[in-house]
Amino acid sequence: MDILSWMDVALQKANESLKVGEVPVGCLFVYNSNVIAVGNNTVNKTRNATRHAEINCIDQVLEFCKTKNLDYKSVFYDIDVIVTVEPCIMCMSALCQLQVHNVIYGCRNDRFGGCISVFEVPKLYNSRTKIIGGTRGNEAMILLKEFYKGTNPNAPESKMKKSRKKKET
Amino acid sequence: MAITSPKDAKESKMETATRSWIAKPILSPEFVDDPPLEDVYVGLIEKRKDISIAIQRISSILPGFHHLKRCFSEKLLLAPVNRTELSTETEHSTKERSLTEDKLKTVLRERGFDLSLLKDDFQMIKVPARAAKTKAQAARLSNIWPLNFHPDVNVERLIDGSVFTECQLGLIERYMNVAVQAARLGAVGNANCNGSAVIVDPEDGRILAIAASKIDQHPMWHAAMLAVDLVAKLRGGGAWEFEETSKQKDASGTSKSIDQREIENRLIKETSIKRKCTEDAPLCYPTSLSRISLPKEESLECIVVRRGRRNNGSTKSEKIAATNAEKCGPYLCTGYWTFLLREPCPLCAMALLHSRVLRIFYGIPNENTGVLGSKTVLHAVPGLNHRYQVWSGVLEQECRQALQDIEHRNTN
Repeated sequence: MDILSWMDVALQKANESLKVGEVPVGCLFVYNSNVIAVGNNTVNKTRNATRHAEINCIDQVLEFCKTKNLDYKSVFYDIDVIVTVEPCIMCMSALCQLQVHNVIYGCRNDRFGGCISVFEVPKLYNSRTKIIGGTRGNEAMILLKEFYKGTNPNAPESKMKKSRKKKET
Repeated sequence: MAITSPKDAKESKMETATRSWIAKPILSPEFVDDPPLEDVYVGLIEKRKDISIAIQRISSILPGFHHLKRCFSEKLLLAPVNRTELSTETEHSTKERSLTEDKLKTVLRERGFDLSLLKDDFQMIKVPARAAKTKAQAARLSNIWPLNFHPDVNVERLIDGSVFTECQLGLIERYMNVAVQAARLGAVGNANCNGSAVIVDPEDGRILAIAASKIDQHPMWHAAMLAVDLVAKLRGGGAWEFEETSKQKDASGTSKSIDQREIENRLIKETSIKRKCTEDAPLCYPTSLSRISLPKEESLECIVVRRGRRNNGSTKSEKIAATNAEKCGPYLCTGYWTFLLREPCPLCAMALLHSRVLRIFYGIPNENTGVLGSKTVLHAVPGLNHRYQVWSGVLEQECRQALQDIEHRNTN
């Protein structure tokens, strides 16, 4: 399968995420041409803000390694990460620490992006990981916009928004 | 004791002398580094009596320089040399980025400025390009050109340390002591990240989670990542199955079946989603950390003596916090304080940012991958949707010693 088709699977996962009220980010970890992890954001479900799609996939890979009796370090070393949105600073830090092979993402993440958008994490780790952005980014962005159109019922009211509103009036 | 009486203040002043550490605020570079200087044109006032009229005119036709006095020792600030919009307005080539003296004169004439108020030749001087952010910056910059400067009381309190009362500093030390003990008992990290994390609700001083790095068990089990998941577990969430999670002082030692755990989780969800579930706190990982004797619970929100007219800000934020708590119960780690043995790596720093903790205290810097002061100041990076406040140097010696001991232990 080529990158575009992998990304198609990731986008489907992102769409599922949107339907259950989570941030629509979908992610696959591909190892020897096999998908060994598929994940989406589960922050609301777990009440844990770190449960991004990539972190969920990392846990699945560790489980995979345990059952197959593989050394996780060498497995991660050969993994290609396909994710609909640029990994955030936290996830990029995780992926750099695990030294994954490639990170292929869809749209940029202007809020938290850890590849180029907000902070360049790979520089901190002298990372070997190759990063390729912009694969079917428009579709990923449409899903995000769909999500942020509705307000996250779990998020507290933003101080920023409040003060801005006040200034406008 | 939350209220500091004058007598306490005196007593605690004596304590100050014995405290071995200073909490150093990690501030955005704009508070640390002086603003850059820029080239500007100044006109020399022809007659002293015309100064006020010249200031009035120039301010109305070329507004700007709000952070500076417009006129000083008969020099009138006219415009920055790199003011590109003026160059384009005068239909000159936009490729030419800087404003020439002739161009500026044309603009002034066109806008009705009486050039006879000034001497024929303009001068070019350097002045601060941005406003000073701190008293210290203002003191240095005002040697270059007089400023319009209004100190931000909150920023000054961060810098001079008066943001914390003596009683708060004492409590901060106690919580960091828990982090030091946790690290000593269980931390297994690496050069990139190591140590322990303690998450505290400052309102009642209750410790919610204590964790030590366990990257020998799981590559993502950095202390802060574990602590955040433990807090999620208190709310009936959480993602990681810990083989041996235990409650503090849970001496029974019998491991619970998954069914039992599920029932418990459901009960927690049903009974306490809207309020703080503190009955089980703190959760510890690894379990051995439940041996740590905990400090007495005391509110960290000591009543701060508010000076002057600056007390409206905090009441507003209190109101917002109150409505948020009503709306959804405590959201993630909103408002919590976190104590870390060592400056966090980007994974941990961003996990705490996503979790919206309010304050982070750490003992020692992490020169390899620390992003709260060493490699960068993450909480000052533009674009992020949440900012916490950070201090380093809390119990620095104890933390450094603990880290050395852990590293030594783990390599042997």
